[in-house]
Amino acid sequence: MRKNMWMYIAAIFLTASAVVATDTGCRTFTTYTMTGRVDPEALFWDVQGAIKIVQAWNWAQKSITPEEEYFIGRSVSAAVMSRYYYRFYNGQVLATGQLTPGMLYYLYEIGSVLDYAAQDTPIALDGFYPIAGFHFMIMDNAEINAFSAPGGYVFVTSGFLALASNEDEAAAILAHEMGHVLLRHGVRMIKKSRQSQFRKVVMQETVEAVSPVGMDLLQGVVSDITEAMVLAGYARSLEYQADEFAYKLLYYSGYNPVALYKVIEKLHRMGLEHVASRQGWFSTHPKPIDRMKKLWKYMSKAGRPKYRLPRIRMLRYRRHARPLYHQYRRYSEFALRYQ
Amino acid sequence: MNRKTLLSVIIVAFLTAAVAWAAPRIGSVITVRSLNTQVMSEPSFLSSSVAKVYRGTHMTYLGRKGAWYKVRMSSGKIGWIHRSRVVDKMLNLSRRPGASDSSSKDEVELARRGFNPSIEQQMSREKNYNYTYVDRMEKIQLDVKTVKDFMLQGKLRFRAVVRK
Repeated sequence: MRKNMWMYIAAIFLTASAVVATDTGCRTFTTYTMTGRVDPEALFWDVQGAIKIVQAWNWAQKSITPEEEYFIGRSVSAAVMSRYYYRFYNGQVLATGQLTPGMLYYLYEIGSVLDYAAQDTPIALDGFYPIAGFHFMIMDNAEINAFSAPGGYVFVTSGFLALASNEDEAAAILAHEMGHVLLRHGVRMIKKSRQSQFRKVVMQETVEAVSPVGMDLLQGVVSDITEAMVLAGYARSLEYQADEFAYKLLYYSGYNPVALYKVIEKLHRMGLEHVASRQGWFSTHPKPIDRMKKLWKYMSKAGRPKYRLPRIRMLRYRRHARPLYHQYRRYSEFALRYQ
Repeated sequence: MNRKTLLSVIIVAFLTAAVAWAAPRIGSVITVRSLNTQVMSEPSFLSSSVAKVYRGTHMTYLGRKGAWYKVRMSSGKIGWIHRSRVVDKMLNLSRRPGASDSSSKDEVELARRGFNPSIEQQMSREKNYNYTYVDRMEKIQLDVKTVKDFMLQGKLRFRAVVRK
């Protein structure tokens, strides 16, 4: 009898190690260095990451391939870009497909740093990566808002960028949205009623049949995600997850992770000033104060660095964002007051 | 050996096999799945780029370090490519998943259910879906050197790198 018990313990241990080993590429068994010394925080996060990966073992991740997510994302972005009548900052990029130096170019530079960090550092995910990489776009709008579509499309409003007072805060906004993409939150926003139907289609592999019923279903899937993104927002727990992810990503990429807390704090203060109009970002996210509390708890556990930045990251952000600062003076004055 | 013991032995054997199958066999051919990506000289995005490769490129798998695969390209060059950018199989993929010749069996294997280019074509006939902007957005890309210079100027350094 006792012999059997040990067999079961061995089986359970092997199950756990198999899940971790296949998913993280044995990262759990490596050590990390941070500028020469062993970093206890990194180890803490590594264990957290392994737990999270096991938790994320659900149908959404398993049954939808990156290719499908790519096509869902394209349709969602197409819907956002043609349905919601946003003007685009540096719009000539969309006319020509060529990126010229300017705010969008600068945003791509920040985004690429985060992009590489997400793959090169221990935060790297369970083999999922958007097949077209990340793509960023600035919407020329006074609204404070940012959202992302599955497959790596990230949209930020120019108003939100005017609210950031340095590069790290802009990176925090992008990192949060990239978190939604890399944790594959988009597909979870498909409505419950449609989910079972969609799952059936996915399982049966009946595909090429482009029947009217199938088309309706797929259009429904796209509009569910689009609505969740633009109007309703993700579920509260997913926002917290994305915050936590963003904090880690900022830390590993070399940015100051406290910038995320600072951005949310600004939104909180902003919200106090504009309680009546719960527009844009305020309508799609949980109350900033709740996120601040959660994040503070997490930061305290993981070790909270001081909010000090190299001067160049402040200067070069202001240099690039000057036109935005000028355009949205109300936000930028606020941003500089509460930096 | 009673039934329970037998069951647990089977479970253990199955899981060991699952771990062994996680990586492709050395010498097997793998395929690039992302639209375009770089093959690097070291297993890191901060090393120098050996070549730019596109979706559908075939390469030989030589080994792995963490999330990176060591590969040999058809030109004979050897480099490292990130695991998330490849499929562990030999597939015939077109350079763009939406291309006209993309209805091959292999394309369908990857995006077989639900969404695929033909659905997109149907959707684009409607007013509410305009894919031209999305296509142009996808064209934008920065090269690795620009990003490295940007990091250097901004005093940015990746804080933790996996030690192999």
